[in-house]
Amino acid sequence: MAEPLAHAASHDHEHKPHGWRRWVYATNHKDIGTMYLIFACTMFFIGGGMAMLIRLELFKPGLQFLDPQFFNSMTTMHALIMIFGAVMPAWTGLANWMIPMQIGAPDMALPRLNNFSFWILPFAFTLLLSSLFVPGGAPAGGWTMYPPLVLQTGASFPMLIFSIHLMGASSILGAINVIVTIVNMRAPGLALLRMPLFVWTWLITAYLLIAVMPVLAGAVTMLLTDHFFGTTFFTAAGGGDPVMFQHIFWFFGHPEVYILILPAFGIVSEVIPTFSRKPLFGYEAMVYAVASIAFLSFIVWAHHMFTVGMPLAAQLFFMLSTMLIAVPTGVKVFNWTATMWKGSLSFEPPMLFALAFLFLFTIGGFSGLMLAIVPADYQYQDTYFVVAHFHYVLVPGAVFGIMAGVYYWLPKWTGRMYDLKLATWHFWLSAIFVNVLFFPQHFLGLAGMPRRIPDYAVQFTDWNMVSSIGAFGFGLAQLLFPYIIWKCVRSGERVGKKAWEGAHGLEWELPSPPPYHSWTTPPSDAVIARGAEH
Amino acid sequence: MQPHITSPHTAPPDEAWRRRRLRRSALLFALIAAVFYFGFIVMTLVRGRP
Repeated sequence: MAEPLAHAASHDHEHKPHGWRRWVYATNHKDIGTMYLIFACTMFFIGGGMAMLIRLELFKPGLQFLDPQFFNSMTTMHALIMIFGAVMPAWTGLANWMIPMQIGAPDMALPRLNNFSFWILPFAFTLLLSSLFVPGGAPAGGWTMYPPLVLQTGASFPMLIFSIHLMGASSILGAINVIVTIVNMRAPGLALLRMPLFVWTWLITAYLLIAVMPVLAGAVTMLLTDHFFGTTFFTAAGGGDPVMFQHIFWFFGHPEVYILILPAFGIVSEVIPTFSRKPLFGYEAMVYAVASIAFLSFIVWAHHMFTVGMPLAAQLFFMLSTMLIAVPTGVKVFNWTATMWKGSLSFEPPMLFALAFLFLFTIGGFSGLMLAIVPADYQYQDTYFVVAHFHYVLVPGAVFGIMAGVYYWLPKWTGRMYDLKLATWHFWLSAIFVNVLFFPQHFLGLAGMPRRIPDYAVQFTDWNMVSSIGAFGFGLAQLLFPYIIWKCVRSGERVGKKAWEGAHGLEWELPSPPPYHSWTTPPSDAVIARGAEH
Repeated sequence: MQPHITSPHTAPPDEAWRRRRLRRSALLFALIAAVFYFGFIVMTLVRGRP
């Protein structure tokens, strides 16, 4: 029954709707992936603009440009936009583009749900961004939304809650689609332990999303009812417990960090073997390491809240379980290094971003270990040291992972090679300025500068100036990214199906650009075997 | 490395059966998400009692 359908489709590879209908009614995984990536890029620049305002205000002590309330709105909105609007949709975009092509499936399992997942997002972020214009301004209580502070938010409070519900719904639906696709639609013969690492990391990420996004949704629902319907889930005066919110939030929040980083592990595991011209060292160990990291992410949440007070046994448990994450992470770092060992290395832009990821994410990991130590954490809590730590994990970690992925697969998507020289410039400017931006924040934090303040004591001036200069440089360097993509799409040199000679995987068995409907007939065993040489 | 193929090519499964299977797995994961959503609200209610 499926055979005639597949046969008919194979004669109609390039049939696609035209005009606005192609995008609004999109069910093709490539179109939806493109929309996710464009959306993520737009949000990256909006969230980045907010970061520029924050660093502009912090360039010198004293209040220069921003009202303190607006400054707090900027820190809150910057985080929400970057996490939920930029990094997560970028991963979903990459998943949409690559997972069906990498597993030999014709599309995602639930294409209409896929369309719905995407189109929720513009509404969610329009709602969130429009809160900047309501009385009382945008939410300013931090992305963590701790009560009782968040309950003092003005007219933007329900907008915040509803937009988070929408983002959560989008993520959950996207995750369901990814799992159902990977579990049910792999080409016959493609066993789980032959799948590319990017598919594996996304599968595990999707499980994390399904487990924790509803928890965030539950937490914000309770905030909503506390605010409007007289419940006291988190209101101490009514017998509720504000610390309970922190536990629930971080039960979501810590796995969320891994949701943001695990697909980057997958991409780095694709890029390093390609540009080392060697198979990935320890493929199965890599899969089990990712699964272990995901499991551990559920039992470490309270390391974010040591200072609220908890029994000694709990402190020890959360400290030690957090430190345990260094073991599978170390396995990954050593395996990537071993993959390069005696390889025939070349340093094209995807490899440069992957290598920077390896070094700089490890720095973020080490400062995470420092934060896991309970007595030391009492000193670091709510200082710029924490800001430096998570930005090292998220910018040269997640964002560089996305850059590596886009530069790796862009020739496949467009059938054209981008300007390698310009992309190398983009890399070096990003890698230098990201360190100028975030490394001094370690010093500021250790010296005692608190986070989320628009003004600071004069002794913190010098490193703040350096950090702001780094921010402006990093921000400007990112403008190269859309230009490089635009130039590639318009006038890049044509490439064959295998844009990188060391690349392996089913996606490289398709022409570049791939047909609108790819793998309408599943790949043969021989093609799978050739593609699955990790 | 030798290719490691675990299952041979088989005839494509029946389309209706495949659709049912996709729908069933999607509903299962939606149910798991709903359990986490309501479960945490109920847990907060229970833990919140003095």
